[in-house]
Amino acid sequence: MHIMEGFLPPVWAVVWTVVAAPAVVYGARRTLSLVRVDTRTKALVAVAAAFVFVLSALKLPSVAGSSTHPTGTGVLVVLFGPAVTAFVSGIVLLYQALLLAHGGVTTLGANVTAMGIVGPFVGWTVYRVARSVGSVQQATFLAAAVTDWTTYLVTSLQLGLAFPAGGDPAGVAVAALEFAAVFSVTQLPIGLLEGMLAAALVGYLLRLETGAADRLGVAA
Amino acid sequence: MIRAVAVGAGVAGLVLCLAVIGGGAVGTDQQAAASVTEIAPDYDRWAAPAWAPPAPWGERLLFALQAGIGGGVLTHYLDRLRTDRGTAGDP
Repeated sequence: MHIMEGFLPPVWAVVWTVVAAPAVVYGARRTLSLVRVDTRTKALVAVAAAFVFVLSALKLPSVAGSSTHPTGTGVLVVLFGPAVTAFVSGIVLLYQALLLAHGGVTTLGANVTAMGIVGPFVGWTVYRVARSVGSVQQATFLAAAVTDWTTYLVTSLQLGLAFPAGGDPAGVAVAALEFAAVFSVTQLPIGLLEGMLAAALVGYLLRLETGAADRLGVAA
Repeated sequence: MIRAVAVGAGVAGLVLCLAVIGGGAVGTDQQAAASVTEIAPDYDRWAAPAWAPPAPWGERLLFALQAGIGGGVLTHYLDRLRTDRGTAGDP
């Protein structure tokens, strides 16, 4: 989902930076307040953030001959919500932009908006709804998969807005669908894999009695 | 701590192996960039990365480093949670 450096016109680079910056700043404040609550909460934040670092570093090949990355944000989303996810995603994406030439500084706002804000917000909403009808692991699986897929759909929409296939809204939709088609073959199975890994980690945290149950809305 | 470092090194090694196995696969990010060029052939890319790791090993090693740091931190804090199991958190 990394939009590469310079691949958004300046006006869109500014728009997405303005959208992302407040969420990242609020997320940073929220993260700092969380790690001061107690050592268990601090450890849970660290575990969920480290999960993002590990999964987003994986470059997974697919049967279609292309490769892509999981986002790894599912565990953060269900445990701490979109704001903390925005902050952690900002750190990961900045690392990858500066050291790996994946993404870019000019596209950082767009990439954070996709991976750290909109994707996680939709995933978090899905978790809330799914939790009312399913188990924590089932809801986490669904939330993590939807978070991943939504992230890539948002990237497709961002590219469609910047490079429409025509002058009307239909041109934006056509271009966005074209970009989504590029991502979908690889990302659909990776979203499922991401859901399984996130559900497994959350299940393990529950078995450890880490205090994750409180954050996940699980009755004691 | 030794366990965390060992797991981090193991995760980094695994990510490096995956990168080598999938080395020939074109990233979807590059495919999306190619689509931009098709849709808007006149688009002038106005910024480029200030620095890019030397291909192919620089990128692979830095991704492995990222995963290794994450794996080490994950293991360290899971161990702490296991150790603190059943006790109340410190203020």
